[in-house]
Amino acid sequence: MSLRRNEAPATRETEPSLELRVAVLATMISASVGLLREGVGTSALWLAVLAGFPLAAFVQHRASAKRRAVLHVVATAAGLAVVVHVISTVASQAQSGAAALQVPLAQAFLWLLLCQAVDTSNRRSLLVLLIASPVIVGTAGVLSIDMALAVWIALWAVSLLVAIVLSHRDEMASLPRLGAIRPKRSEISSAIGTSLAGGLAVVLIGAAIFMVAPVAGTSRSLTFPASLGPRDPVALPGELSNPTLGSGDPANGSGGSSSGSRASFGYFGFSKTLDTSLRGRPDNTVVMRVRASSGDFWQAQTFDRWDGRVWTVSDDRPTPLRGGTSIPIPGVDADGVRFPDVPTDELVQTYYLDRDAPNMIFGAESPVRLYFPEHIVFQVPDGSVRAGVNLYNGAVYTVVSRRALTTPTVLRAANDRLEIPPSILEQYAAAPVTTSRVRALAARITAAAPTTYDKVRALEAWMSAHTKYTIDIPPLPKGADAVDQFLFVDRRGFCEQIGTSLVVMLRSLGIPARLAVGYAQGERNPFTGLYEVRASDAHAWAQVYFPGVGWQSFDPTASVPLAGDSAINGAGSGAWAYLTAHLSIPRWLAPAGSALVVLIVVAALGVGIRRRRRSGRSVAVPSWASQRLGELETWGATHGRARAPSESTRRYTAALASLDDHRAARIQIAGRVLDAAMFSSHEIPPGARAEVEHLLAELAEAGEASTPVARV
Amino acid sequence: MSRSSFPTPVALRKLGLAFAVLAVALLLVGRTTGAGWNVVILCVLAAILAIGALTPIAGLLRVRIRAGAPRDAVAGRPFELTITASGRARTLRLRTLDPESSWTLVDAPCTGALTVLRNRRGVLDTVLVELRSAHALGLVDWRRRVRMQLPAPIEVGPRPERVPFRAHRSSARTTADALTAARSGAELTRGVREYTPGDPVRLLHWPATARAGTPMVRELDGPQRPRLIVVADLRTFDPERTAALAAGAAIDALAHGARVDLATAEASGPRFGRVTTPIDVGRRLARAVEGPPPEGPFDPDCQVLRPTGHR
Repeated sequence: MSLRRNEAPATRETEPSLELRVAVLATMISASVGLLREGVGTSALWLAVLAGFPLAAFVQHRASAKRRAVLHVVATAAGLAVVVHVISTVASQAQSGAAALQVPLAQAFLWLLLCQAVDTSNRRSLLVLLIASPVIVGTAGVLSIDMALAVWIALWAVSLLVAIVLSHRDEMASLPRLGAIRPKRSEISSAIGTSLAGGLAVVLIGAAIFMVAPVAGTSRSLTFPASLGPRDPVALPGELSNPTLGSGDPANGSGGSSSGSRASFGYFGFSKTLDTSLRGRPDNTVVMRVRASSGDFWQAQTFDRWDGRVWTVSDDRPTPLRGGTSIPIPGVDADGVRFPDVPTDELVQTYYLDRDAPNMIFGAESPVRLYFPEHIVFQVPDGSVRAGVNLYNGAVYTVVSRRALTTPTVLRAANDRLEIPPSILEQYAAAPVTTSRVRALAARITAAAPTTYDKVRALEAWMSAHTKYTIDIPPLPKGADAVDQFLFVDRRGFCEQIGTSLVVMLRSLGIPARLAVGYAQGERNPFTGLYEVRASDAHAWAQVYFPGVGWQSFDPTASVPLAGDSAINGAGSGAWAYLTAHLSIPRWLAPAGSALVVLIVVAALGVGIRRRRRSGRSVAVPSWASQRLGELETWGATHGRARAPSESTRRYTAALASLDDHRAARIQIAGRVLDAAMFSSHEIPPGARAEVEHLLAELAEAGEASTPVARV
Repeated sequence: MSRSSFPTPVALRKLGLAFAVLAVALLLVGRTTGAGWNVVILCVLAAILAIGALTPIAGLLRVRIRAGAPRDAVAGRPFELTITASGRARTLRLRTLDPESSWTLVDAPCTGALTVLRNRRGVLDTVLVELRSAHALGLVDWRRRVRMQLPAPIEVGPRPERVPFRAHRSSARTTADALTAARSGAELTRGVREYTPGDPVRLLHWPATARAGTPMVRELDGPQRPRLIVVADLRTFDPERTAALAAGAAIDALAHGARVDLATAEASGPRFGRVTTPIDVGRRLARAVEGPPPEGPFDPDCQVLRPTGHR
């Protein structure tokens, strides 16, 4: 004979718990809505999710076994249809790359889960939905570029936790229970309490893990998103177009149609000229988000010709670049030769435009591949790339750059290894238009610097110490040299003045340099993993040529590390700062929050200890006397003298004494001792206790009955 | 004294395994797509897994188990242990491994009966209890085993196999009447004498009273009972069956009013002694081991039975 082994409680039986169904339903809906709002949802799918999941749960809860069989057949047939559709979709869009398949596959997955929801009669099938929910919300995470997903992730996490707790309780409830069954109300309140405590623990532990978790990166990217809204070709293929400048749009001069004033987020540097006498900066509008594993300058173009006030591009004749899903971007003469032993890394950047933008393709130095919906783009001689269409809000493209992993050591050694090509010297190191005192200042500052790198750092250091970054500067006097005015008169300026001064001083020393414009890296959102680039991040900085390495960016005003030095410690790095900056959380909340957490933990411990003490009291541990009396009663019962309900201890032991002549007196004494132990306020002497124990042991030894009690 | 192990993880349950795989997948997706939200979701799953992996330990360490056991049990027949779980712990699973039981849900504090079973006779000094918990999320199973030393052992006797008792003719100085009387618990009348105050009225012998004209009462002798000696030599091919046959023979003989002596071997050596109840029989055979029992010489008037497992 053997007892039934019920190690794995059945999960195939019909699930009776409405609470579990509701929790799974909430999990699925919150995850699905999170995905649908990332551009996945067609109206049919929205309807199917919002109505289909609840309807399926209701029908499954109420359906008879026969109806469930019918639903099973229907769900299977529908699932097969979805699979066929998925296969045909993948086959038709296989050449478009993995990114193009994301949305159709996500839609198909949701349809499949709807089919599964129709067939969730038992707990196992409900758990399948539960396991699928992280996949849904993870897909939403891949597609999401903003914070709106946070709400749905929070809802999903809470409902997932409740569902897990309920599922485990249901599973355990199928086991036989020791002792009395608790009332259902107590079970539900206990589940809610567990979920609340679990939720708090998930937040705390999850936050701790987030701080040390590896950063989401794109260095081994498999998907290269690219999409365009309406295709609106620029007036002349390869021509620069920047509608955000209004009437200042360079395309206007060649038949463009833009008019009106510059947009508040428009930057005057994204043009054919950059006039340093212009004042005013773009506002804080988020213009684009960049998904990249590290920050960098998102460069648009460079200027090489300086006339004392205005930068211009000496040559911007476009060359068409053609490709398929990806377009290779070749090097240009201006890049020079790169040492093969200089280590490089690939930085994949996906740009999500939040506002209309110039048709410049942004990218970290040096772009080598572009994923763009159009199969033709244009490259100008400085290596910058332009789209043949206008880029509007919602456009997405991906750039792969191969950055030289430069460090100060590499840059210091560069000039010793290779001569600078004459063409680069001619274009970028010719004597600049500036005043003699600017030249003298540059020579004086760098007198002690042995290498180009040290010269650049010396100039940067001097500018940091003697000039001030501000956007509030006086107008440039008519006829004044912009660099001279900045270095010797105003000593205040913003990036255009600072960058220009650095380039001009370097050129005055015979070092090839140019002015680059684009955006600074922006603020990293630790949740989305994207750099949020605002219009105010529009920037101009100096680029210095190092033979064998290429163009290297320097900027005394923006702290962008060298590519070889950049690293983010943990995914959650800067999370609290981000939240306080964007969710109007006061800064004092961090210490207050920490104190609150400590308080909660202490309170929880206190409640736990109190409960434990209470539970210790609530379990009536039999006293020594009642245990011994119980043993004596058992002995009496096995000898035909059970204790009557109304019989006193003394009277009963007197009766027991007649059963054993040898121990009669001792049994009666034991009765008195037990009576006193139970009802007297006096402490029983240890000797008397020992005598009772000894008597009971003797009775047991003599082969008489007793009830052993073991304790774990 | 009980020996208790520290909780050890037993298994990542299916849901936990699925979440662990999903967490790894999310990390890979996050690393290859740059999706920061995937790291957030990964952290949520990792936190849930961490809680699911650690909370069972607290429950297993907090709970205290006490077990009340009967003194006697029969091999192959379920009996009950009274389990009291104190402390505070939810959704624990408990079973005993020796004697064995099926899983039972324990929501401490609680008290209840646990049906257990032992298929072999013997003396149980200890009870091995296994506690498992995956509370509160059911993701990771932890186990704690406790071997309890019982202050007094549970004596698991053999399950008796019926061996009908027949009184041996040569050994019976008794008559058929004696046998009947013994079976019914009655005594035999030796003679009659005059009534003295205090004699029970039921002993009045009415025919003699009529003849003598004065109250006469019967004088009684104790019953003449058959005597059986069961020699349980467990050094056989199937000692369990031998013990079962010995138990069956002894119990049937007791039921027929016979005096029964058991000859067994115990750990302390050969033992010969009278048994008066089926419980006595069970206890003696529970303690019996494979060894030489006392071999006599026995009273020639006694019937001697030597059951073997090859009947």
